[in-house]
Amino acid sequence: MRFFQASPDAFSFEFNQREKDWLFQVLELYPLIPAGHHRLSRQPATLGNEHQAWLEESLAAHREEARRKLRQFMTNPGNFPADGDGFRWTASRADLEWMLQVLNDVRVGSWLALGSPDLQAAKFTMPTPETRAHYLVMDIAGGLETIFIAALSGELPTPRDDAPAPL
Amino acid sequence: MVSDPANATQAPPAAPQVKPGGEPQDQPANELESGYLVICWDDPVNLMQYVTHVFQTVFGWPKAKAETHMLEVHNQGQSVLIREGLEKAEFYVHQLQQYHLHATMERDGK
Repeated sequence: MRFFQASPDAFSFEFNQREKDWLFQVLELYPLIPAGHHRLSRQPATLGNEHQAWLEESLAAHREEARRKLRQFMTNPGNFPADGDGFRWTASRADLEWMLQVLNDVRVGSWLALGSPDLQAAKFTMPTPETRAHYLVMDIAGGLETIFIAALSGELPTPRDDAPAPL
Repeated sequence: MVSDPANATQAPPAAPQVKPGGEPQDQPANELESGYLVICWDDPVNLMQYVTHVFQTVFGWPKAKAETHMLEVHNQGQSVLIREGLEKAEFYVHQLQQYHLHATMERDGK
């Protein structure tokens, strides 16, 4: 993947075909975190059920909006125009924040599907055919999160002469 | 939290989101009002850099402050992020959970 920042609110990433396929395969899994997973408080008795219900309603609406944006993102070829041998996606700051939320849903949801393992200990465990896919998805999502956060932070090198910087 | 290889740098805060049906309050918390603590809890899955970024984005904190709280979560298992009244504490928890951090609000015992 290559990065090119055209302006303070325009972040361009160039993907090759395989990278684009990986990105889309991860995004197609959204949402993975089960509804009702998030708890408003560890002391639910002090807040009342209506506050938890409002949280779940709010997150459901947020999830539905994210799904709508994701469908538009993945089905509109104009979002990923061909650029040489690859594809270029130009995102605003808000786009990247939304993408981070989607990717982290997939990452956390995969971890939940694995049974919420201790990931440090899991490094020394051979993955099974069933778990390998979840770990791969977590790695891809985490890698993309790192790149997008670095772009938002101004950490990624800004290339000269309109040439993208390899990542 | 999971450590990450990249060095974190300061990011400008994103525009605050408006909760459904309302607007974020600009007035400081009423000190006489019963307080709620917004707490972020440690988990094995969220990346340290991600947590730092979310704190910067949601609260508008500079990178140093966000990293301090992230390291509290990582090393101590939790960090009290902010003390607010009920409505604003709920707002912040909603924001943090949209990023899928393990965050809750608890009544301040003080």
